[in-house]
Amino acid sequence: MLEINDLNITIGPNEIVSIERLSIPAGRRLGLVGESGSGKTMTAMSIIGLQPREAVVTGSITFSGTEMVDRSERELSDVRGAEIGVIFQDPLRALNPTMKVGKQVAEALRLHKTVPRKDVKTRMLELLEQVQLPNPAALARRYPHQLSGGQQQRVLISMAIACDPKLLIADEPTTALDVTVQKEILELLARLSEERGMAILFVSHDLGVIQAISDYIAVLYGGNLVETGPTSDIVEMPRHRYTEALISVNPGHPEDISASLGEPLVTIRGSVPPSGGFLPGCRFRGRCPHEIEQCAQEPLISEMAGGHTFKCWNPVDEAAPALAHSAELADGRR
Amino acid sequence: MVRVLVRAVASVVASALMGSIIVFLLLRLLKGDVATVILGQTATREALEELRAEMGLDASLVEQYLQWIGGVLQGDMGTSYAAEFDIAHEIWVRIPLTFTLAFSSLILSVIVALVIGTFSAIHAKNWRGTTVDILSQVGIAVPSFWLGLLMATLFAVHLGWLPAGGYVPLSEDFVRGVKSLTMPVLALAIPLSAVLVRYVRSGMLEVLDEDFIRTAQAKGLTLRRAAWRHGIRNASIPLVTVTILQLGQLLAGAVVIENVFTLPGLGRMLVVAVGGREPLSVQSLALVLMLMILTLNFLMDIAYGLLDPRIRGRGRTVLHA
Repeated sequence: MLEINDLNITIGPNEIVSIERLSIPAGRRLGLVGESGSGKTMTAMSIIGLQPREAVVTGSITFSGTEMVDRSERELSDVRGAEIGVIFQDPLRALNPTMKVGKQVAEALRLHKTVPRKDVKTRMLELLEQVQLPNPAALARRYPHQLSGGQQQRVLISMAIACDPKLLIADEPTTALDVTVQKEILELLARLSEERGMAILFVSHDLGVIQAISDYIAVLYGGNLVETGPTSDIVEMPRHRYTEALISVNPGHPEDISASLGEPLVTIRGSVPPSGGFLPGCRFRGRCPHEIEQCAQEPLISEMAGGHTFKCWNPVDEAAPALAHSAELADGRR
Repeated sequence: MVRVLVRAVASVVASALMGSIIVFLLLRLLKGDVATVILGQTATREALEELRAEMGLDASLVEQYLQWIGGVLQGDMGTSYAAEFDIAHEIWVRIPLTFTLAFSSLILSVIVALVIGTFSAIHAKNWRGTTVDILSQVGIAVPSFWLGLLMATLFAVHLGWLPAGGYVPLSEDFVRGVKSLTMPVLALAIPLSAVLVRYVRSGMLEVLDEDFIRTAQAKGLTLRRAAWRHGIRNASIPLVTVTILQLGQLLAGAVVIENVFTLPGLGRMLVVAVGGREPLSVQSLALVLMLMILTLNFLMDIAYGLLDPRIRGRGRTVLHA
C-alpha cells in the first residue's frame, strides 16, 4: 500500500536519507528504528510532504498507487488527515494551546467532510470514547494544558484516526510519556490498527517499543536503510552489524533490568558523525568492530527468505545467536 | 473576580492621581501664567497680582492642587479663566470624538497588522515578504502629522473627495461623520500598523514553527489556513503587550492629528489651553487622557485572558503603563 523507491532527501550538499526500497502492506505495522539524526522522522514526514522547507526530496513514494513526491500542497492536504493520519512526539506541543480539544478533533472531521455537519459533534465524542478517554463530553470542553500527557496523546490519536485513514504515521508517540502510559498507548494503537485494518508506520529510537508493536522492522543508520524484515527475524537473527549492536545495547523491559543492575551499561562505541561526515562505503564504518577492507565500498543489498534484507559486507553469521557477539561489540565490557 | 476588579480600578485611579500631580507641577515650570496672557505683556505688577489673587493663583501649590482635585472628585473641574466655560462640560462633550478617533485607529491598526503580518510571515522567504518588510520600515519612519498633511493635500485639496477638516458627529450624519474621520484615522493607523506588523510577522514566524501548526497541516489544512485558524490567536498574545506600549504614542498622535484636521476633540482643547496657560484646563485634560490610556490598558489586560486560556483565572492585575 505504501511503497518507497530510491528515496533521497538532501539538505544543501548533505544527503540526509537514502532508501532504496521500503514498503508497508495494507493493515500491517512497520517499525522504523534508528538513533536520533538517522533520518527516521525526515523519512516519515516526507511521505506526507511535511519535511522541513529546505529539504529536497527525490525518488518515489507511492501511497495506494498515487505518487506523493512533488505533489502540490493542495493535493497533499487532501490526503493528509483523510487517508494518512499523523501523531507526534510531544502531545502538549502538538495541540493548539488556545483551542478546546473537542473543537480540534471536530476540525479534522469537518475538513474532509467525513460526516454530515450535524453529526460532527456526536462523531467527535465517539472518537474520544474509542481512544478510551473518560467522560468525553466534559473532556472535549477542556484546553490541552488541562489534560495529562497520556490524555493529550489520546486526543491526538483520535484526531489522526477521525477520517478512518489507511495509514497512521506515529512519530515517537510514546517517547514523552512515562512507562505505564507508554504501554497503554501502544496497546491502544495496536487495537485500533487491528479493528480498522489501519497500517501503522511507527517511528522510534526505542527498539523495545518497536518490537512490541511492529510486524516488520526497518533499521536506519545515517539515513541508510541497513536492514529490514519481519520483526522476529530481525530480533532473533539480525544480519547487519549495526542491528546486532542495537539489539545488544537494549537494556530490555524495565522488569528485566534488575537482573543486570550493577553491570556497566552497554553502548555502541563512538557516535553518529554529523551529516556529510560519513566515510565512503558503509555508513557504520569507523564504529563497527567487524570492519573489513570491502566496507569502503558501497554495500549491496542481500536478500533472504521471508523478505529479510540487509546491506553488509561482513554480516553476522546466520547460525549464530545475536547476543553471543555482544561482549566484543561493546565498549562498556572491555 | 470582584477583588481583582477592585484592585485594578484602584491601581488605575492611583496612577491617574500620580500623573495629575506631575502634570500640575510641570505646568508651574512654564514661563508666564494665565494672568499675563489675559492682561498682556504691558500690564503692571499690581494689576497682575490683583488678578492672580482673584483667581486663587496666589495660594500655595498644595492648596491649589487640593482645591482642584477636590473639585474633580465632585465632578467640578473649575472654569476656564480666559474663556469662562465650564471645563468638565467642555471635556465631556469632546471625549466621544477623541475616543472614537483613537479607538478606531487602534482597532484598524491591529486588524491590518494581523492580516499583513501573517501574509508576510507565510511568504517570509520570497519577494512578497520582503516587500511587506520594506513597506513597514517606511511606514514606521513616516510621522502621523506629515502623513495627515499629505493626505489632506491630495484627497481634500486636489481631489476633493474628503473634507480637509472639521467634524460631523456620527450620530448626526453617519456618512459625513465617517468621511470627516477617514483621513485622521488613517494618518494615525498607518504608522501604528507599520510598527505592529513587524511584531505580528516575527510572532507568526515563531508560531509557524510550532508543533501544533504541523499537526494542523497533518490534519489536512494548508499552511495558509493553518496560520489563520491556529496561528493568529497564538501570535496575538505577544501583540497585546506591544499594543499596550503604543497606547501613549497613539493618544499623543491623536492630539497632534486633531490639530492638523481641526477636529474639536480633547487634543485641540489641550493645545489651546497650553497656549493660554490655563492650569485648570491642562491639568484636567491630562487627567482625562491618562484615565483613557489606563482604561484602554485595562481592556488590553483583559484581552490577554480571553486570548490565552492558560493565564485565564489567575487574576492578572499588572498594568503596563
